[in-house]
Amino acid sequence: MIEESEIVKAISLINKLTKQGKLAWKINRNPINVSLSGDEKLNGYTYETIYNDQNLRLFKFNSTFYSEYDTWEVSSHHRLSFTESNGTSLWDFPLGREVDDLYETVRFKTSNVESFFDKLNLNTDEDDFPF
Amino acid sequence: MAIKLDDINTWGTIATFVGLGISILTLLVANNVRKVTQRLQNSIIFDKRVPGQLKAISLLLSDFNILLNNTSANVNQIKSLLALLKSEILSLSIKITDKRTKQLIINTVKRIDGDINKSFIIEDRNAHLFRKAYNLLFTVSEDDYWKSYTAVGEIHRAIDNLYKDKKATVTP
Repeated sequence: MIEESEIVKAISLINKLTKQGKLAWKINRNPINVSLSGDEKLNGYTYETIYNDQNLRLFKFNSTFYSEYDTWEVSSHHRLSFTESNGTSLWDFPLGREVDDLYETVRFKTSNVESFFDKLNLNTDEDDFPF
Repeated sequence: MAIKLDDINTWGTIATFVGLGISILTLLVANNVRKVTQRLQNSIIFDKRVPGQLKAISLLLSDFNILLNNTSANVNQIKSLLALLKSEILSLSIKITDKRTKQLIINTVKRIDGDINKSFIIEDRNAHLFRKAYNLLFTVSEDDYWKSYTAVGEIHRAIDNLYKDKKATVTP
């Protein structure tokens, strides 16, 4: 049995390695076999990497919660899964805020925001301001 | 019928002991009632306050995660944020009865105090042994911030689970 604290630590480690550039993620624009159930719908792309010979997939999904017959609420969550190389899901990490933070980090890293701002070179003296 | 003085003394002694016994029993019952009332009060406070505090901690952790994108440039903001996190988890600790979570909070508060009070350095893996020892004692590195981030995350998840378990028990 895996303890909850171990899960938090594992996701935090993956987050740290991603931020430090030691773990790179790829965007998959045409994902297959994404583990979704019932009213869950994929929101955006999926992100994939391999860590310690294990395929990992991260994605955002929307789920609908029906509280009454004509009342429902849509909420967004993030899911981190172990997958096979063909994309079949083997195991999903429990949902939690750590996965939300990891998703934010992966999105930041894969969108090349850093290199965009580096190229703008905005960190200069006021006299050299580009506009 | 004449009442002997010895009989009165005997009954008086018995009555004193019975009275003492009743007093002790009442004290024990009162103490138990006080404990139950305190537990109920804590339970009500836990239900009312904890969800909001968990939300606040979650938002602070999300900000922390963003600041860790460029740690060395955000040290002052990280320290301010750690101070806020410390006060939130300290406030939570008085509402928690679970010993393991309480201990986790105590350890994390000590860690956060160190992170706030020590100066930040970029870790040099090739540093001399004495330098490494000095850094270990008197400075914090990015890894220390990550440890605090993770520890607060553990507390958040532990208390969130306690809250969900409690809700599941009360409202099936």
